[in-house]
Amino acid sequence: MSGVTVRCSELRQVYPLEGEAVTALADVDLDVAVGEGIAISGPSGSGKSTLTSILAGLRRPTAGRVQVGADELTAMSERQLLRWRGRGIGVVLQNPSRSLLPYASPEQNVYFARRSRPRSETFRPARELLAELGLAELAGHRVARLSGGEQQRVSVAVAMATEPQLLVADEPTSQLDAVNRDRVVDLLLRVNERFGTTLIVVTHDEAVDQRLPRRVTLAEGRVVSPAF
Amino acid sequence: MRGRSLVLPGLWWRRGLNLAVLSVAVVTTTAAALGPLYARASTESTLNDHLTEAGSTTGLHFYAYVDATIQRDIDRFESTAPRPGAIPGYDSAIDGIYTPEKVGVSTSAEGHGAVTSHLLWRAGMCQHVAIVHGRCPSGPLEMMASQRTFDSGAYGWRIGTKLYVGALSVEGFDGNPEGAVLRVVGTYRQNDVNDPYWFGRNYADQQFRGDQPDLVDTLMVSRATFAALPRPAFAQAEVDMPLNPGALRLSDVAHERRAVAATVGRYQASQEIHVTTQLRLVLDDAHREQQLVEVGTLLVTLQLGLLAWLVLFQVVADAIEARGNEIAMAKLRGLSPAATVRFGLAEPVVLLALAVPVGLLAAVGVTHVFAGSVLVPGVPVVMAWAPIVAALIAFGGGLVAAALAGYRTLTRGVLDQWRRTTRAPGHSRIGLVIDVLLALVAVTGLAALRAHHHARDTHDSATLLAPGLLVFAVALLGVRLLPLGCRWIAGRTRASRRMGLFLASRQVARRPVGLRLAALLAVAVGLATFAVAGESVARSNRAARAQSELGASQVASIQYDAKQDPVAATHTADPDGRWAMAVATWLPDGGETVTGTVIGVDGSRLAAVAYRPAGGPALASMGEAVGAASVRPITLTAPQIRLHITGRDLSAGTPYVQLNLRTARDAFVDVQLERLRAGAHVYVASLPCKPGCLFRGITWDRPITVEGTMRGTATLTGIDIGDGTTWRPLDASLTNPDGWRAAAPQGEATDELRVSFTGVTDRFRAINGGYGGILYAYAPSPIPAVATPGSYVSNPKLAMEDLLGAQATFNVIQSADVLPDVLDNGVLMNLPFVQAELPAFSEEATWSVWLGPRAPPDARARLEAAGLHIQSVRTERQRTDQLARQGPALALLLLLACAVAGAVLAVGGTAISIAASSRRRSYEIAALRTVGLPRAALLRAGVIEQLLLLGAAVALGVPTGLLAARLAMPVIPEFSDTTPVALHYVPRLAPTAIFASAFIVLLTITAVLAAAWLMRTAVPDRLREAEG
Repeated sequence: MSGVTVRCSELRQVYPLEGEAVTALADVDLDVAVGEGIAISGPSGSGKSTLTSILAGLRRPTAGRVQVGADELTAMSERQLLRWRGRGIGVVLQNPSRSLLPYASPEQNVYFARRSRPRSETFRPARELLAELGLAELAGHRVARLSGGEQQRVSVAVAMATEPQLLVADEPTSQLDAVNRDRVVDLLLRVNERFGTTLIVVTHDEAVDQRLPRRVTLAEGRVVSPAF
Repeated sequence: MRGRSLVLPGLWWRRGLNLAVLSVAVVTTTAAALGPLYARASTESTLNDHLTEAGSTTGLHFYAYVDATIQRDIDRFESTAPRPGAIPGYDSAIDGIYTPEKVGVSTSAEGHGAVTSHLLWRAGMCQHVAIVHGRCPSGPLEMMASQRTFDSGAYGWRIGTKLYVGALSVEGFDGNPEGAVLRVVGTYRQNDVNDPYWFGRNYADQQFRGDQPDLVDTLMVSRATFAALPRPAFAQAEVDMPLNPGALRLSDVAHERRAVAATVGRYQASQEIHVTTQLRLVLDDAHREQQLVEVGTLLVTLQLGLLAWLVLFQVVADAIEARGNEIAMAKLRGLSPAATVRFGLAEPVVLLALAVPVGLLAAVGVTHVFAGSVLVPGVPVVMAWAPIVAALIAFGGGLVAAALAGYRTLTRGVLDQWRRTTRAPGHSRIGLVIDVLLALVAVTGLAALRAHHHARDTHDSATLLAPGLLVFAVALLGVRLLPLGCRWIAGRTRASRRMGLFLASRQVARRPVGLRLAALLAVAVGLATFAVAGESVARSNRAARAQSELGASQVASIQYDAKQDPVAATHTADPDGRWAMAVATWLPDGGETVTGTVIGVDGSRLAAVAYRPAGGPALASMGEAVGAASVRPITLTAPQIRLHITGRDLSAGTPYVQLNLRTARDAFVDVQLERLRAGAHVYVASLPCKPGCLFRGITWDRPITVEGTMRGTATLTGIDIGDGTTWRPLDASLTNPDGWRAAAPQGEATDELRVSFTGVTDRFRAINGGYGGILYAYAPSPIPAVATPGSYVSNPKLAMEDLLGAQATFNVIQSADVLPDVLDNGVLMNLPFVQAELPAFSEEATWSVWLGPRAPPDARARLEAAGLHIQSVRTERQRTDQLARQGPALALLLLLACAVAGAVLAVGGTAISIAASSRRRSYEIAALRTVGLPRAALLRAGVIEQLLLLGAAVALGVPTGLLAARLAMPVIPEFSDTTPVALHYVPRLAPTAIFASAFIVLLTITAVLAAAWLMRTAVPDRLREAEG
């Protein structure tokens, strides 16, 4: 398992809103090196979530290119994007209820995330993955019974289920208290460090922002702090 | 471990919603499987009813003409008939020997006291009659006479009397010195002529024949007696094989037809043994009704199946929508479209599959309940292939519903799902066009049904589609008006303090997502209302038909002893005339003026006892029309009578004074007194009236020696009765102008009557051998009658005629479309009048006693105590139940049950949809609470919003259902046969109101609970969750 480069070139996203065009991203250029961990921050409406969804292959930009390793997302078909999401990226969302099946255990959630992969493809056992991420004691519990912090940490593990080279976390700590926030950030950094996974964390929390090696700030759809 | 095991945890996680989906799927499967199961059970019941109603006509009657004295011939015949059990359902056989030709019977070898009768032996006959005196004949030359033959006292028969039996000559019976002598060992009374044992034959056929030997009830003899009769004794050897209706099932019918046809064909070829049966015709009739049931059931279950499917579609859509986040998660994780579909539909598919066996079991259970409560007891509920196929089709339909319902969720983008946005509602115009087109199709179908329906076509079950089409069209278009109305309300309340109403109407006007639900609910409510109203119509019509056909709430078929007058006996049992009335029906033997059935009723009791026939005149009006005599009949029992007559202006040849009487045995008993003399004189005569004579009148009888004109005036001033030494006056209403009338002249004669305070004065004139007289007018002539058109020939010169040749004219006072019992083909008259005019009427007629609603519990015992023998009793309830088991009624009942279930199901579906959408709505409500709107106003708004949607369904469904009942019921078959009884189609208010009220309560509870649930989930924290 290792990381991957991420390169966004002249990325532009325009929304139609009540007959007018609203620019969410304006010619964003962003390069992330293999195994690098960066934080993207900015105020509400700065385009963080839009950028996240484009990086996750959930949205096609109006213009520009997105290259993740050898894969150019902007040139992919929907089917290719779907396939890529199954193998190339792990996503952690703000709300763990959108990332986890509440009635299943963390272990089952890991297996569920691997359904996108062929049966022939082998991964380390779910319990081993959870153990590596320090979540062994939660493996058999039902997700709905876990606390918010525990659920978010499980979300990180589930995002890593298919051992992707890129992990994108969208406001992963916004609903957590400080203790749990730190635990989740610790876990993300451990993933980045242990597996070499490229890590992009979108946050407006300065405490999180400060803990990542590199920081990029967006404002009004533009990169206002160095993109390199 | 790749997630297959997630289905069960998922099902359990959303157990409330999934249970609801399962329930709806089970109801859908049940509805589908119920159709064939119910149809099968109903047609089994119909078959059984037809076979039971047909009675012995479905039996096999084998007979051959034999010399009954030759046992070998009889044995050979009996051995040739099929053995019991050889043909399915024919499990028993009754052997018998009967003389179809009458035999002569007398108490002496010379033919003294000769009567005629038939001889009968039938295996086990003594178990089917009541032996009143003595014992059952067992040995040779033993016989048993009917008790009423004994009671008549006319023949001097007693237990132990020896009777001479022989063949009749052309002149009658002159005795049989060398014939068989039978000994009377007992008397019997037939329990019930309708007992299947008798195979539809009535052996109680006693008739007093006037100048010919009387025919007395059949004489029951031992089998050995036939061998002892003088040879040859031609008789009919019989083997009767009754069909056990319960033993013949639908699956046996084809085989049974073949087996019976083969048997009949084999014996017809032999020409020695004859066989008769009506089985084929009965089965044909049953088959026609079976088709009615099957088509009706199919149409009903199709409609309800469609309704259930739509609810299922709605509920499955909600269930899949509730998993929207999980499906988005699957897409986020990169699951292939096929894997996502599998994941998304796995839970509904498991539930649909589970619903198949559960639904089948439920259908069997429901059919058992139906069978136990409506159908013939013991009808089997057969699980054949059809219900299983129907359940599988429902399963397939469920899959289609799941696929269609899940399409939107499964194809929605991940971000769209997260944002909880739906596709732009740009389909509303297309939806409107589709709705209008569907409504047009429905209206066209409805119009076509009405146009092609033929009046009184009892086999046009397609009309059962009419109400469904109507409510469908109205619901589709009606709910389209709801947003318009709500927009208007929102505009009116925008600046008012009615915040709840404003929010609710604005919500419905802007986001009419509940319209489909409202339309579905409106269809369900409309169908259920139609079913309730339609069943109330059908139930009323069944009651009306049963009441009209029976005439009263209970009809007891009776026999009576020779000395009894059933009218008088009924008066004894019910002296106040409140609950019992003797009734006789009679088909005139001649006269050619009545083509229908004459029904004689006790006019004074008609209104108190009978039911008014539907479409017929009021009972009081009929009773008044047929009239009551102004004078009562006079029964004479005294040994002598004395007439006070004053003669004036008499011609040379004076008539004899002749007293006209009637006894139980002799219709015309005339007692000759002296010749009429001028001046006031007393005329005395002895009366042959120990058992009682009916006083009829006085004839001025022309002596054979008198020629030319016979004229004069005679005034009857008084009548006394006594024993010759003491006399007492008889009240013969001599001063009542309505008490007397001129007798029908014999030949050329005129009688001019005048009644004054001195008495009855008759100025008579007779020429050319004619003569006349005066009649005591206890019966009017012509007899007033109420008749149905076509049941009589309007010719007052013609008269009804009885077997003795007596004639009676009648005058139709009132015309009626329908009469009690005889319906559209009869003439109703006052019974005592007909008895008075037609002496053989009582013997020829079929008698019954009608019991009204006020009949006491011991009514039958009272009638028996009064001397009437009750054979069988038919009740209104029995007939109503029988009509309720006819094919069309069964289809309507199924519609009622399914439609009410469908309405409840639709409410359930509504509740589920509200619950499923509550999460989405809770964000909006939470936002409104955050900006400071009071909770009470929001709760009110929630309740009003639900009430607007659900109330629209009721407001549309109930009137449309009632309208459908009013429009469709006249063309929907209610009976499998036509009836002249007037049917009414106005639904009864009470059941419809009760149903609508109950439904409104149910909806209101649903609306309040849904709003409360929404308020509970709409907490501000919800908004934080929405940010994710």
